[in-house]
Amino acid sequence: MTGFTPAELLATGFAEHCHAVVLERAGASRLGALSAVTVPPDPDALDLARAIARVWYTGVWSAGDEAPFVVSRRAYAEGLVWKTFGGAPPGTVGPGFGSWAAAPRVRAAAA
Amino acid sequence: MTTPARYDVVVVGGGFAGSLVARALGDGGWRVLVLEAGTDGAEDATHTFQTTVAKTPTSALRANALVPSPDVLDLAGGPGGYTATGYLRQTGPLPYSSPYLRVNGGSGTAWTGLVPRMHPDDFGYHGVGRRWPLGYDDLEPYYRAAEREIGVAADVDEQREGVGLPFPDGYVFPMHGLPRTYLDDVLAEALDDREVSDPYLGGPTSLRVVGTPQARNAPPNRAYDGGRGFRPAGHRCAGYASCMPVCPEGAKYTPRRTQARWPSTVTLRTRAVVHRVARDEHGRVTGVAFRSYEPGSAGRHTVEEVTADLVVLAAHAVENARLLLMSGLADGSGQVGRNLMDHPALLTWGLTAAPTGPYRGPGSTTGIEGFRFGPGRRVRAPFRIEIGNWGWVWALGPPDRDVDELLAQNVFGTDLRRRLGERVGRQFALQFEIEQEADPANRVTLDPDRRDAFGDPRPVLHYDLSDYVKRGMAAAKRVSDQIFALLGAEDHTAYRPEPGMPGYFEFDGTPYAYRGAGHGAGTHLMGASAADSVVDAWQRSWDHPNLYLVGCGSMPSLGTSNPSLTMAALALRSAEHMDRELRAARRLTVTDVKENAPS
Ligand SMILES: Cc1cc2nc3c(=O)[nH]c(=O)nc-3n(C[C@H](O)[C@H](O)[C@H](O)COP(=O)(O)OP(=O)(O)OC[C@H]3O[C@@H](n4cnc5c(N)ncnc54)[C@H](O)[C@@H]3O)c2cc1C
Ligand code: SF4
Repeated sequence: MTGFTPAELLATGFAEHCHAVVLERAGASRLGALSAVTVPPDPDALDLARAIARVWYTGVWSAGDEAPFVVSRRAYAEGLVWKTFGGAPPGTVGPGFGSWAAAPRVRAAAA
Repeated sequence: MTTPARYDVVVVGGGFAGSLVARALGDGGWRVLVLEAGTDGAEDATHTFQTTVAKTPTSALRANALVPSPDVLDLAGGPGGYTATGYLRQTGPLPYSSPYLRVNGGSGTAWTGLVPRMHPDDFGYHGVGRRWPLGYDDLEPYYRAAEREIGVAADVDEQREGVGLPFPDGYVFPMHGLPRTYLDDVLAEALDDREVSDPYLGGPTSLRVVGTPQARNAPPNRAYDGGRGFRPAGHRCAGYASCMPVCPEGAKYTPRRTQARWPSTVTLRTRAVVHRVARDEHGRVTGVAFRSYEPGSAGRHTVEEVTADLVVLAAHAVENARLLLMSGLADGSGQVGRNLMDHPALLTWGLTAAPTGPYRGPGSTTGIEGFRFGPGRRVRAPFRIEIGNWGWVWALGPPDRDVDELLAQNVFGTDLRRRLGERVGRQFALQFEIEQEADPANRVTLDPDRRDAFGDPRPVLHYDLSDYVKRGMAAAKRVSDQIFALLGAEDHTAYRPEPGMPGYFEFDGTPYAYRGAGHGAGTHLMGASAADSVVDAWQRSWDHPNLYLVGCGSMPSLGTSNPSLTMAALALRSAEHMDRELRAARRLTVTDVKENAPS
């Protein structure tokens, strides 16, 4: 769903925590329904899928009427959106003096 | 009733200007008390920033309901104009869009840290706004002193040639210029020595990407200070890309660095909100009254008083004006609170042809300087172009936006990953900081109906942009269009009357939207005459000889440079004057005593 491989997701160290957050916020039954999703998906499952992708990509849980919140420092620091272009979220990594002068290195998405 | 504590000097505000003045006077041996309205604020700033959803200028601060800081989220745009909620009430046609921080260290804890000098041309008069009572040459030695105190990284030859700034022979900056970003190189390659036209100018303007002086640590320059070199405080900039609002590395200057250098003659009291400056019947100020509180105390507080020979207000342009109005002081000219200025910033944004890797390193390392000077500024406001290295964050928001947009289109999986990478990895922005001239109608007043947690009137702002500024924006947009074309970049700029663009307006049938650069100024401007200005060239109140008002509030015009270096130079210059005045008064008192002593 995220476009990152399970190994890449596990490497973030955020997978277990993410699973727990999703379970707590969405409940096992909705999550179960999502695993069983078929085409065309129902709107509820789609919303949940978006929320899960969003929390993986940005570290922010935002679903329904709930006020969005950053799940944890780790969730923010490992946000996948930054990895899509070889970057890191502001305030989490200091790649070193002058590192910004080099051309960016981007790892291509697994085909 | 206990007798109020007595100091030589009381400084109101432990921000940028206040910390500098306190240091200079403390070093002179004077007993200085600094009263700071905010909390200490240093705790867990990086953590707070990381776990706050909206990464705004106040996002590294713990909320302080008693002493709130205005933030960009207080404003929202829409088809019917903007709305303002939060601490500041706004009544003008357009919003004053800049935040400021009320915490120890002030707005300079969150600032970006760009420190260009003003150009000699900026101190001249160009037919709009107000005149400076001093010039570049008067300030030049204090620029050097400020560059030492802040620790500035820049290349002096580049500043000489690329900006046209005069420096004394042999001067070098304390640290070498910061390396440019990869984005800067891509832009320089496409733009250097190419020409664009500005609709308000006769001839073409040549482009050049020039390094911007930075208040963050780079390798020290051995040639500094006649070969004595420079020893930076804090670590070298490591590229965390969060300088605004917090540098996890301590590489960026904040006023706390100056506070760490305070001698023991300087005392700091945080959680001390000054609400009145007292005066005697001769027009001299005698001290201040302040409210001392505990965090979370729902407004309960005790009032304390201190007396001092000299009072320095350094509470930020808006709060200095508020405090003067609350105290009924310094307003012989009727200009207190008037002439509120900022740098309205027009942003344009797009995608470079190939990935440039945004969000690496500082927010901006270079700019384009060619539109700052010359005859054009008689017709339209001049502007400085900052090359924005943090994608579209200031223009629209962080990449979270792009994620949401694609998810809303049901893009998932590898498609999502690939499209985000292609998009965010190529984002860049141009930030046109436009000069705004002093206009007495743009002003801070008091709101008797809406009071803060302590019962004091809150500030009301009335703000607008003149046609002079709007012409500057129109020129900026035309220049931007040509730059995008030269770059072969995809232009995504679009201004709409929507919540995220409170600074939306139309001019000559064309839509624009601006943001505030955080450069509030002018509310107690200096001038050559007591009739039409609030302070003299020493930032001393014309009406009260021992009251000084320091900060950008004293500046009669901002030029197109980020103002804090100039403000710091002015503060250091004024501190010398304060020291002379204190010494003169002391000599007088000593002679008085001798003369009156029984023989
Ligand atoms: C997001 C942002 C980015 C910026 N980037 C740059 C930049 O790159 N370059 C640049 O030159 N400038 C920049 N600025 C502007 C810069 O931060 C200000 O010019 C500077 O901080 C102003 O200094 P000051 O001392 O006048 O006010 P402040 O730094 O705001 O300090 C005022 C202090 O007074 C305290 N205070 C207020 N009222 C009272 C009271 N009644 N009693 C006691 N204490 C009080 C406040 O709590 C605060 O600590 C930026 C500003 C912002 C907001
Ligand atoms: S780029 Fe990073 S290390 Fe450098 S000043 Fe900014 S936040 Fe600090």
